[in-house]
Amino acid sequence: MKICTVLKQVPDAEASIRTSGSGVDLAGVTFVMDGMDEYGVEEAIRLREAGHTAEIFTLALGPRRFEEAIRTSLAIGCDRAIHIETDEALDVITQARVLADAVKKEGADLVFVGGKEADWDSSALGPALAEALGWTHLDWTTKFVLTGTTIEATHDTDAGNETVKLSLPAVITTQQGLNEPRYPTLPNIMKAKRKELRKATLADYAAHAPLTKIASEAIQVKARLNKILSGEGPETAKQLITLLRDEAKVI
Amino acid sequence: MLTLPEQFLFAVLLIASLYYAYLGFSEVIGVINRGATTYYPRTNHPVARLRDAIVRTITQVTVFRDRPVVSFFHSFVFYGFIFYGLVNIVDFIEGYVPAEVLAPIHASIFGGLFRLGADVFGSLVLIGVAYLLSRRFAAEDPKLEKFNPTVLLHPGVTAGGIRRDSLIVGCFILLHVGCRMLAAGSLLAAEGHNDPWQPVASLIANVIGHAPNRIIGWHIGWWGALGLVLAFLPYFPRSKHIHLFAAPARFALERRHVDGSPVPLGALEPLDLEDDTVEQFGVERLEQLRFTQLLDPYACIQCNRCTNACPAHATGKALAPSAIEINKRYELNAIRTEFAEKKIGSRPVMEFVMSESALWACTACGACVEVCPVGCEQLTDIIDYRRDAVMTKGEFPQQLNNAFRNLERTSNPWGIAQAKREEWKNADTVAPTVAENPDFEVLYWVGCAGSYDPSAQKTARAFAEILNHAKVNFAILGKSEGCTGDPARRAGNEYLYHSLATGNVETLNATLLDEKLDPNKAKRVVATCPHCFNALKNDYPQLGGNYKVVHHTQLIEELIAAGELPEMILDEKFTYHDPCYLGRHNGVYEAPRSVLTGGGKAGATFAEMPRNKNNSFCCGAGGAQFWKEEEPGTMKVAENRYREAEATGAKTIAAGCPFCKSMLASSESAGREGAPVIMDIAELVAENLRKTKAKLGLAG
Repeated sequence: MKICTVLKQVPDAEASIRTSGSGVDLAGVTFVMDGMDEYGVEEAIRLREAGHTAEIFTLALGPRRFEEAIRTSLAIGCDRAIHIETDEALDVITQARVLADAVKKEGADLVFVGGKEADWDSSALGPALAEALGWTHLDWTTKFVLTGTTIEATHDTDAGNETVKLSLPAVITTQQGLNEPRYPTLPNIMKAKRKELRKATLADYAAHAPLTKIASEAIQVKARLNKILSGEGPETAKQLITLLRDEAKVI
Repeated sequence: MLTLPEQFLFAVLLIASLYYAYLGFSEVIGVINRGATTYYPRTNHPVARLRDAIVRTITQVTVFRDRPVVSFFHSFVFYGFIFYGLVNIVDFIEGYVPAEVLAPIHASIFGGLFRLGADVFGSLVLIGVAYLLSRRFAAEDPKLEKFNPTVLLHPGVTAGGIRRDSLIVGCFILLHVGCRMLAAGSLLAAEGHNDPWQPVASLIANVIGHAPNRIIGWHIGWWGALGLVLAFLPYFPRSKHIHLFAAPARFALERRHVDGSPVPLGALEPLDLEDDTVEQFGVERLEQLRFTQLLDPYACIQCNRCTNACPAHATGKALAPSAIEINKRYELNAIRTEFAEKKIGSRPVMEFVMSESALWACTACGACVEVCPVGCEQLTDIIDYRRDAVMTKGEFPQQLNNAFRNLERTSNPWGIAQAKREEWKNADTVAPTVAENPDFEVLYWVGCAGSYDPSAQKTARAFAEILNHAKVNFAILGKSEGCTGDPARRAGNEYLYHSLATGNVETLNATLLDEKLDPNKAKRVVATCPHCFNALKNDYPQLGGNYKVVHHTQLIEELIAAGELPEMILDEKFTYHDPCYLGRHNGVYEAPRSVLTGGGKAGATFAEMPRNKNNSFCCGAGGAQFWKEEEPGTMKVAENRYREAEATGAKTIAAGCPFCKSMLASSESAGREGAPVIMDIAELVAENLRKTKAKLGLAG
C-alpha cells in the first residue's frame, strides 16, 4: 500500500499578518506545517506502526519555503517527498487537479489531507482532490480504523458525528481529535536530511492552468467604539449588561 | 609475635585476600572506565584537586552540612578508622616481629601515644558504630530507608540489600575493633600489668584477670582483628562501604573550569549535535554515562540525604535521587564482571533506575547535588535520561510538546508572537532598544516571562523604573531577544536549546562584545529571571558566549550602595524565597537579602524560612515543570513552600524569579483572604522608591 500525505506550509497561528500593496506581506513571519495536515501525517505513521505495510510519501505544492515543512514530515516518519515547486498562487480546484495527477502517477491508495488548511481556510482541497481522482472521501475525520481495504471512520457533522464505512482508494481529511501528533526525535531529524525530496514543476503534471486569479487582497479592520462607562461598579455593570444585550446583542 | 604456623597461614590468607580484592577492585575500575569523558575537565590542576579532596575528606565538611548528630558519630568512626590504618599495620608487624625487638619503640613516647590513640580511637569507633547501628536497626530512623511507595527500587534493594550490607559493615567494624581491644587487653593481662596509655585495654585486662595464659586472648583478638580485614577486603567492592575510597576520588574528580575554578551547579554538560551519524542522544543504558556518573554509585553511601532534600519526594512523588545511585549500584553489582569486561551493556536505565513519573517529577532544583556529602551528581543523570526520552525516543509528557512547539515557532514557551515582545512596556515605561540607544552601558535581558507573563511584566516595568531613576544607561534587545532555551535544555531537548541559544549568542556577541569578542571588555547584561541569568552565565560560554552577567538584585544592591537608590525600608514582616537558579545554582544568596533588609537593618521584620539559602526548597517550576502538569503526589511543591513561608508570619514573600512568583502565587493557600502576597524584589524596591519620593515631596 502507498499512503500519500498532502501538506502545506502556512504562517504560524501566532504570526501577525499584514497587507502590503494588494497582497499579504509575509516578511518575518514564522512558517510551520499546517496543523490540520499534521494530523494526516501522524495518522499515516500510526497506520504503519499498527502493522500495515505501507510506503508513505509527502506531496506538497507550493513555493521553495515549503521544504522546511516537508522535512518535518520526513522527520516525523514519511519515507520520501515530492515537492511541486511553484510561486504561483493557484486556486484550490487547480491545486487539486495537479495533486490528483501526482497521486495517480505515484499509485497511492490512500490520501490524507487537512480538513481546512490555514492558508485560505477553504475546506475544499480534500473534497476537490477526491473529485479529481474520482475516489470516495470522508472529511473532518476524528477516528480512523483500516482493516484490509476497508475503512471505518468517524467524522463530525453539524449536530454531532457519524461513523461510516468506505473502501480504498479514498481521500481522508483530518482535524484535531484524530490523534496527537508526535514531536520528531533527533535521530529522525538527522535521517530526514538524507531522505529523498524530489523536486517537480507544474509542467510535469496535467491541468495546471489556474482557473481563478486573485486581483487584490485587504484585511478587514474593525474599529473599536472605545466607549468607557463612568460611575460606580454596580451601576456600570448594569449599563454594561444593557449595552451588551440591547446594542451589541451578544448576550 | 604469632607462632610460625600462624604466620604462614596468615601470609597465605593475606595473598588470597589481596588477590580477590584486586579482582573486585579491578572490576570497579573496569566499570568506571566504560564511562565517557566529560566536557568539563576532571583531572586538571591535580595538586589543587588532591589538596581540596583531602581537606574535604579530613574536615568532613560535606558530611556536617546536614544531620549534625549523625555526622558527629560518623566522625568518631571516620577518625578512628584513619588511625586504625596505622594500627592494623603495627599489629601486622607485631605478628611477625619478636616483641623484644619492638620493645624499645613501645617504651618511647611515640609508642605510648600510639597505644593511647589505638585505645581512644578504638573506643570512639565502637561508640560511633553502636550509635549508627542502633539508629538503623533499633530506632529505624525513617530518613534512612523510607521511600515513597511509588519509587522504583532495584529488586536487590527491596530484598533488603541495604540492611544486609549495613549489618555486615557494622558487624565487621564492631568485631574488628572489638577483637583489637580484646587483643590489647589480653596482652596486658598476660604481661600482668596495666598500661596508663591504654585505659580501656587496662579495664579489659582487669575484667579478664591477669594471668600468663591470657596470651591466648591476644592470639584470638589478633586473628579476629586482622583476619576480619582479610575477609572484608574482597567484600569491599560489593559493599557501599567502598565509599571510603570512592568519595575522596569523587571529590578529586569534581567539575572544574580550565583555570581550575569550580563549575557552578547550574552548568550542564553539552552534547555533540554536529555529528549526524549519531543515533543515540542522552543516556539509555549505563555504559553511555560519563565515567563520573559511573563512579557516583560507588561513592554513594546510601544515606538518603538527597531524597530527604528533594522537593518531589517531599511532596509524595515517585522521584528519590538516592534511588538513582542505589539502583545503579545494585545493577552494576549484578552484572559487574561481564560489564567491566565490555562483554555486555546494561538494561535500559528506565527499567531499573527510575520510573517515567520520577524522571518527569524533577524540578532540576539541585538540592540533591548540593546536600550530597560525597559529591554525586544525580541531576546530571536525570537530564541525560530526559535527553534520551525527548530526543532519541520522543517519549515525554504531552504538555511539553506544546512548550517545545511554541519555543520553535515563537521563541518563547507561551507561544505568543515575537512581534509582541515589547508589549510589557506601558505608555510611560522608558526602555529603549539597542537600536534606539546604541551607547548603552547595561543590557537588560527582559526574558520571556518579563515580556509576556502579566505578573512578571510588573517586575520588568518596576525594574525599568528603578534603572531610569538610578540613571543607568541601559537598553533592551526587544524583538531580537528570544528564549534562552533553559526550559528546553532542562527538559532534555538539547537540540531545541541549541538552536535557540546559538541565535542568542550571535546577537549577544554582536551587542555586548567588541570586534575581538574580548570578554574582559564586555558590556554587562542584567536579567530579572534567574533561569535566563543562569543560561547566559553558565550555558552560553559553552557556545562561545562569555559575558558579564548579573541578576537584577545584584545590580540593585550596587545602586543602593552607590547612593543612586534609597535604602529599603519594609514596615511589615517579610520573608525571602531563594530561587534555585540564583541561589544553589549560582551562589547568589546575599545580594537579595542585603537589598531587602536595607543592608541588615531590618532586624525582626525579616523572617528567614527554616529552609533557606543552599538548603532552600524549590517552588516547583524548574526543570520545565512550569510547562507541564505536576507528576502525581500528595501535595504540590509550591503549596509546601508557600506554607513554610506563611508560617514565618510574613505579610510579604519576596521573590527574585518570575517563575517562583507565579508558582507560589498560584498555590492553593495563596488564594485565601489575607494570605501573604508574593512580590518581586524589583517591585518592592520600586514601591519603596515611590514612597521615598512622596515623603521628600518630589514629583512622580
